Amino acid sequence: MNDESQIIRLLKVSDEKTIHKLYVDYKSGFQMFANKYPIAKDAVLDIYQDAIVALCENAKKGKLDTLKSSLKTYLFAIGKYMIYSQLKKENKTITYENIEDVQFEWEDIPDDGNEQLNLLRAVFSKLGGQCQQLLKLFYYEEKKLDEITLLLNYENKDVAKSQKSRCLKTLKELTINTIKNG
Amino acid sequence: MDKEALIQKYFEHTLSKDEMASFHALLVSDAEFANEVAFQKQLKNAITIEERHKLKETLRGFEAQKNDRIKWWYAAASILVLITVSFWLYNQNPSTEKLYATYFESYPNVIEPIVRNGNNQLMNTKTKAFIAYESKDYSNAAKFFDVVIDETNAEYAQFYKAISLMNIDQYHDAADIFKTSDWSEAYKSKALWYLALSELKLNHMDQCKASLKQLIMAGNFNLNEAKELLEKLD
Repeated sequence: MNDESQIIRLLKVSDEKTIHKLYVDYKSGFQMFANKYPIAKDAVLDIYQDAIVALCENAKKGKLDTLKSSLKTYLFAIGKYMIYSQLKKENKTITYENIEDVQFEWEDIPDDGNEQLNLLRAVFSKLGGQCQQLLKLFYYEEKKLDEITLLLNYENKDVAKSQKSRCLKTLKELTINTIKNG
Repeated sequence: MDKEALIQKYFEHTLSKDEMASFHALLVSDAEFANEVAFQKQLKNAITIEERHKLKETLRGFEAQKNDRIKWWYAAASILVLITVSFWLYNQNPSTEKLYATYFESYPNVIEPIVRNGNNQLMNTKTKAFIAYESKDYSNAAKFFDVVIDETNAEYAQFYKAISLMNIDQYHDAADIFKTSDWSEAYKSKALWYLALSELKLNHMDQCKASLKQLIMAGNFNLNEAKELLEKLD
């Protein structure tokens, strides 16, 4: 197992030391790289943090399991993509270069002003730990029910499946109650 | 395949082509099904935002940690300065300060009576030095006396330069001049007196007392003040 696949393995379990080292190691390089674009310094730091978040997220989803490039190339490609989106938002015209051929998923979810979403976030945090973990693995880390069965030590896939249904049911009930009482 | 399994496979990205077709057909025809999919999508978004938010807080924390470290350095440095200053102030016996203030007085200009005629250009350095001295512009006075020393090596220039230095808190340099110059009888005792005061200010109590004793032995300048000061120091 080489160093980078070891790092990826640790990123998958949100090892804070690893994330910290990665964050520090590439920060100034990224800032210099971003300097080429007409973008504010604060925005660069924000984008860098988002890129690290996206990197960790993709690692969890298993997108880095067969990574062909270096982690740095991968991270900078995400960053470049995010810089471009930012510049597009600000209607700034620049010459767009091709983004290195890396596979990553990043759906920009605007998180403010969506009441339904905020309500769900609040209700989710009231769920029991087991449910939170299961739903997080399924929806966020995009693990298949087979994997989750193993990870959370369920007897078999059906148990995992019915557990998931129960969690969703509880979540809906909690949501309805919150709306009624709120 | 039941609807629940279809939705599950949709989120697992494992729908086959046929299943995908049924999935989309149901989205259109079955409101309950469409609602369930929408709900789970929304849940996925909510969890995603929550997780991103948590991780981003951690990253912001890294920045704050770094700033804290810098702040810590500043704080440590400030404390060190504070300790040093307090230590110095503590060792600076307050009565020393008072005594110095009581006894120190610049020696009057008895060398060059200043006649102000407004003709500055014709003034020589000696006059300029004493004008500065009398107008308490001691740092310029010291500079002018330096020039006079270079030109004439005059004893009075050394003496008044040293007094000027005392007035601008350069007690070490002043003491050096008082100590090392080969004073004639006219200046010997005066130099001892000012040396004693410089040593007092520098908190060199032993040297201060030694100078005072020498001065008292000579007995020809500020005898009473010297005795008085020596008494207060003992």
